[in-house]
Amino acid sequence: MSEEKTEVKAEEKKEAPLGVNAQPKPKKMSRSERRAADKAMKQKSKEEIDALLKRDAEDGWLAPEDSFVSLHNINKIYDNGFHAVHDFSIDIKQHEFIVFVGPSGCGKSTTLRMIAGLEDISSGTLEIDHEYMNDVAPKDRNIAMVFQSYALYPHMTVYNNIAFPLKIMKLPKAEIDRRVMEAARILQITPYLDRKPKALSGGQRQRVALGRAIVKHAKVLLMDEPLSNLDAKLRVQMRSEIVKLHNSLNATTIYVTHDQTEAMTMATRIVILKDGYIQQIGTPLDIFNHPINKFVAGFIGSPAMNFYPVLFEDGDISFVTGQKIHLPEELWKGKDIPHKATFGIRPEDMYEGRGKFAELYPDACFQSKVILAELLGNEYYVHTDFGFQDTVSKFPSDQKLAPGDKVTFSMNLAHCHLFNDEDGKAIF
Amino acid sequence: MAENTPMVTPTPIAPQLNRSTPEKKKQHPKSEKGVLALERTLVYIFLILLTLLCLVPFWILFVNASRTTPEIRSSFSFIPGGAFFTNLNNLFHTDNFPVGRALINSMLIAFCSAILSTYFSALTAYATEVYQFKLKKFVETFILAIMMIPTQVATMGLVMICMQANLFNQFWIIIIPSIAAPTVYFYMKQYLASVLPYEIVEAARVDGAGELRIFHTIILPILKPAIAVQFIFAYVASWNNYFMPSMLLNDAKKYTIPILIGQLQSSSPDTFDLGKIYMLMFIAVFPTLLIYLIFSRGIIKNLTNGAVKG
Repeated sequence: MSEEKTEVKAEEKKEAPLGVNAQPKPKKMSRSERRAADKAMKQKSKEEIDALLKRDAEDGWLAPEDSFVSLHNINKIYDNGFHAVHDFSIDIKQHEFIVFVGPSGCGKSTTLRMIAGLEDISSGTLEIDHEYMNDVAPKDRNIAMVFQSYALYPHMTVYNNIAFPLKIMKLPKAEIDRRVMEAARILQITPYLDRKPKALSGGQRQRVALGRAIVKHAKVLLMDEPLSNLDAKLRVQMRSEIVKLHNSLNATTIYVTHDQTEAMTMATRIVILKDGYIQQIGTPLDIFNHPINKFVAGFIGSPAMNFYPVLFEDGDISFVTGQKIHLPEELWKGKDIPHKATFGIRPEDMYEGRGKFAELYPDACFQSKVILAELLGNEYYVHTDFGFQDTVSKFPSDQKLAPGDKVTFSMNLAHCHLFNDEDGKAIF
Repeated sequence: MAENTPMVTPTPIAPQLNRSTPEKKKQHPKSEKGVLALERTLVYIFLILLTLLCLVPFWILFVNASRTTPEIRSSFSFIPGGAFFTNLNNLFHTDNFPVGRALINSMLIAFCSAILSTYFSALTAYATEVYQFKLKKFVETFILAIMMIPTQVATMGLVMICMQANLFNQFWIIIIPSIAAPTVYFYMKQYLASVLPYEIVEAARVDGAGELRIFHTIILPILKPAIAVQFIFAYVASWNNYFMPSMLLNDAKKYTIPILIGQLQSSSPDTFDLGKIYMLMFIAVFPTLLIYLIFSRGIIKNLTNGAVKG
């Protein structure tokens, strides 16, 4: 009896289905297998780089004359085979403020580090002021960089931290003094010049890091998420100060951030990245109004654009709830639009009540139940369940809103977007 | 129902807290204070005893260095005698016993060894910590593997080479091998790994500094506490080193202090001038104490505070 039981138990154990949370354990590789896999990966990445280098050699590319920093087909492939940056190309003019923006791991910092020379370029061409820079050491690139973590020299005073690059340039003492004092005045850190970094607050440290970057009068100013360690209020303040600084110095700045608000408010042109690929390059307004795909549309703008799966037919889109909207003809006429698509509209284009847009687009006026109303002072971010989606719209705060309330909103269809479901590209 | 009413009545929380806190304080303040004072006293007594335990040998050394041989032989004392300068004078005026010369030799060798071993160990530690190169792991393991080899074994090989090349009585023969100090390297490497934010090396590179400049102006100051510790250790180790100098130095002018102390073994105990010997040992200890006092100031905690966002 007991033997039978044991057998049954053993069978149960064998055939027991995996639980919801249970995951099959990956097969453990032996050391030799791991080495072989590593070697194969390195070989693969080497072959990939070789192929790209061959393509570069046959390319015959020349940077445009008005370009100051040129990146042409830049690729970054790590030894472990990870392709971090794919064919990154951009021509940056002098005095531009370029912002690389994208979610974590999109390759924006890697690209910046390649421009700085802190990371090798696997393939492609980098030119700064029409000089080939791929193999030039960071110290010889005439660049300045502000790091996310400040990267101040802990044993030096603020004065010496800022003066460090100037001392390396072997400038006369009087000139060093003049430049440091000037930077300290601009950044309002003159009273702290004798202090060490540990005696400064986060904001002051970031100012010192900025000071160290600007005194050099470098050709290109690189900034790697310089504000992400600061609190919200200081971030807003420093944001405007960096822009003012850029304008007063007439610098060429490349700025990396994951914060789309920083990108929108600071950039002359934005580069949006995802998974190592450039998604779109353009002015903030251009990107905001004409996103090239669903990712860009969702990434730029706060709160993010509302998306709805819809069915398109002869200018009509129908939501999963059965509600229909007739789109303005100028948007869709003559375009090849698939039956299944994604409709997108920004919270800013959803107006409270039946205003002028209700008159213009009467079928784009809906009533919905408030799920959450976030009061920001002058306005509400109202979350409703329109189209069975969490729909956010910006309403003025002149009337009190609470969950459960019914609200009417009208859409400005002139600013709506339609995206192809297959590749996510914008149709309009 | 009437009984329940007071329980149900909500009482403000703050006054309750205010009432209970002083009560607690009132209940046990004296006994708590007493226990704390007793604990502290016991801990202090224990620490004072430990300190005395460490200091007693030094005090006895000083006391005996200030007494004559008959006094030392007759009884043990904690009170210094009056023969300190006589012993000092005797020590420095003994024939074939060049104490002054040996002191200078020892200082020279110990100072050079300590400086070079800490400097080159810091340089190696920086290289293996910051740079990525082929066979890096092998290099690190190889350096650490040297720790497994007893110094005596390595010294024998060196002595053989010196015998073949007739390289005796030269200080650099003792100083140069001390540069290869795997323990010092290991300490520096671990210290760098825990305190060095890689961004500041990158920041210095972008600022235009070359690699040696980065090492000298950024890394060495950050390594100051580790250097201070290892300098003291390396200095003391070299100062006390008897084995290697005794093999490689046979000219009395080149003797170091440990060799001189070693020579005392061969003298007859009946003719020992104990005061002189204690004085020699006192003098031998003094420079290491001085080095400790000077360099222990460099041992500062958290030197990299404020370098990066922590």
